[in-house]
Amino acid sequence: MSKLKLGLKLLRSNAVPNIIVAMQLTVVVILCCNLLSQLDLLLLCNTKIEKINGEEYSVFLPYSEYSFTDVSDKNSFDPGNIDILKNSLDFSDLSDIKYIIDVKYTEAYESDNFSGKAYDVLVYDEACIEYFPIATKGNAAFNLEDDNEYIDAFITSGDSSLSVGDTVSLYLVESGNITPGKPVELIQRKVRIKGEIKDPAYMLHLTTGGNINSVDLFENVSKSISGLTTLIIDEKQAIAGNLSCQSQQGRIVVYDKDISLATVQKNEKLMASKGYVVSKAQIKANSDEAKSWVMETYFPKVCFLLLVALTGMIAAAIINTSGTLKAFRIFYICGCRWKDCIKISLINTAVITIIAGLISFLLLKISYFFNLSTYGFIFTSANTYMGCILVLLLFWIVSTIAPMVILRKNKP
Amino acid sequence: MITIEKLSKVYNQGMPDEVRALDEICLTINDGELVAIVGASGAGKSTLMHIICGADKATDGIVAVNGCNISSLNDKALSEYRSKKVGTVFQDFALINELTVYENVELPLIFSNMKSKERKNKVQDALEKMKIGNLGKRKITQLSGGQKQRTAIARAIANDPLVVLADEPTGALDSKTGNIIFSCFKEINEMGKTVIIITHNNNISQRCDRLIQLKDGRIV
Repeated sequence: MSKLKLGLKLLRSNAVPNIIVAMQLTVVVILCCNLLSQLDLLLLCNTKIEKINGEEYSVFLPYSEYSFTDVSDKNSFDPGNIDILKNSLDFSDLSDIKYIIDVKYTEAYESDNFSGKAYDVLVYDEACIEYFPIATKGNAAFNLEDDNEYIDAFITSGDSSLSVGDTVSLYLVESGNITPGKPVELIQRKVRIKGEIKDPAYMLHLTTGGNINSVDLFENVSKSISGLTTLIIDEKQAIAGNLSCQSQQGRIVVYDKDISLATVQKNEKLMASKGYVVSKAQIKANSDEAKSWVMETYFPKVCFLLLVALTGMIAAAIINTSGTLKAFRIFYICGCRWKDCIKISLINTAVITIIAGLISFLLLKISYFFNLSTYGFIFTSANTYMGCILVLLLFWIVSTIAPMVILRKNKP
Repeated sequence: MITIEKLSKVYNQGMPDEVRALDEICLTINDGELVAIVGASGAGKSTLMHIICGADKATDGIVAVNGCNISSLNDKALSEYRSKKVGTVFQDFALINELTVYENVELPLIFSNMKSKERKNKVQDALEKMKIGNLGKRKITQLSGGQKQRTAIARAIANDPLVVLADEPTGALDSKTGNIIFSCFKEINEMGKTVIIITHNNNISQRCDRLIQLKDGRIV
């Protein structure tokens, strides 16, 4: 039996307070993770809009969404769509426009009768790719091969159903078949997986209305969240493949460099008659406000709980150390150095911290199964994990002070 | 051989509550002797034992065990001395309740960085000598007083030390069990080890080879 095992056996003698402290610490770490998640998500999305923030732009989101048809029902048709379509904004009425970023989507199926596995398909055009560069695993480029046989696609990295290099035959909606009154036809195409997009895969998503911030411009299409495999394809290949792509209906309207303020205001007024308009400055202000809200709401609570847990940890460390003093004295008589006893005490405290950390990380992983990430409760990125590790380290360091003081004061 | 020259131990030196626990003790104990140290409470018996077993350091003087001045040893060397050269037995057994009999006896072998296989042999050997070979897996709380003390003695001899020190080893035991325990020390002594027993028990002290009496920190 090693000295480490000896120390762990002593931990068992104070099992109850140690378990309580570990549970306390687990709760605090998860709440810290929640706080860090909120901030990290804001940071991620703010980083995603960095490139487009070099331009002048407005975000347009319609009052009501429409879809041409429900593509899983060949005979479905919603007459209300026609009216919405008639009343929608004509973007050609806007002035001094450099780009209109329009994220499109379609659907794919394993079979031509809409049965079997279904896929979400996002269609990115050049403007999307330019302003919202996609973070790919292995840095695969989104410049796709000019290949008429295959449609190249990216999947999200957490999706294990397909791998890079796989080809799959899918049925997608054929162009010209999305007309009110006409049944939808599917067309078979071969799809080749070109690369992976790093999870969490936040992709441009322009359907949410209201006073949005940077986070609201994106949606997490990771498989663990959506439940579906999401393919991201290039619009050029979609058109070449005769596929139909529907707009998400929101737009990011990017203006010419030398556009005047008056023209911007004129454009925004026109857009506001048909939907919500959020300027670049407003998105920044909303994002800053969201950050402040998160800090003001969560930070005091987390600090309070941190203090409570720290106090518990210190108390447990004192109980542990006082309870093991007799054992340490026996170790000393049997040839252990007193400073090795201090090391054993530090290791015991570290063990409690590590157990709490492991339980926390396990619960964070489990949170994906309950889709807590969808609501931004937990967003497990490298920053979040790093923050939690720092919290655990802080706990360990502070909780070692009392045992060291006790052991130094008590001669063997 | 244990040679003690002008050994003094002073607590709170220079303070108003200064206590001179040992006062220039000179003593020689030969190899293989069975020595009893007697004296009233506060005479300095336990202090002397703590210094010989390396648990405490003298204020002044020399304590040499087989020619090695333990007073001048550094922390690492002293811990090695405690694990390999001397074994100690206490009145309250000084066993760890969370460990089994085997694990308690194994302690000095662990701290002397002995390999696992060698430890196993030595522990078994010590348990057999104390006639508790069948109790290895038992928890300490399941043992009688006599069995606990035999476990403590087994731990003291596990690493084949030169000297075995015992501080009132029968103090917490009935007379019959006390006699059994003393006979264990006798057997250890007959193996050639030096055994020093601190005791108030005349029955035990008179059965030792030599009697050393302490009074107010000095040998009488």
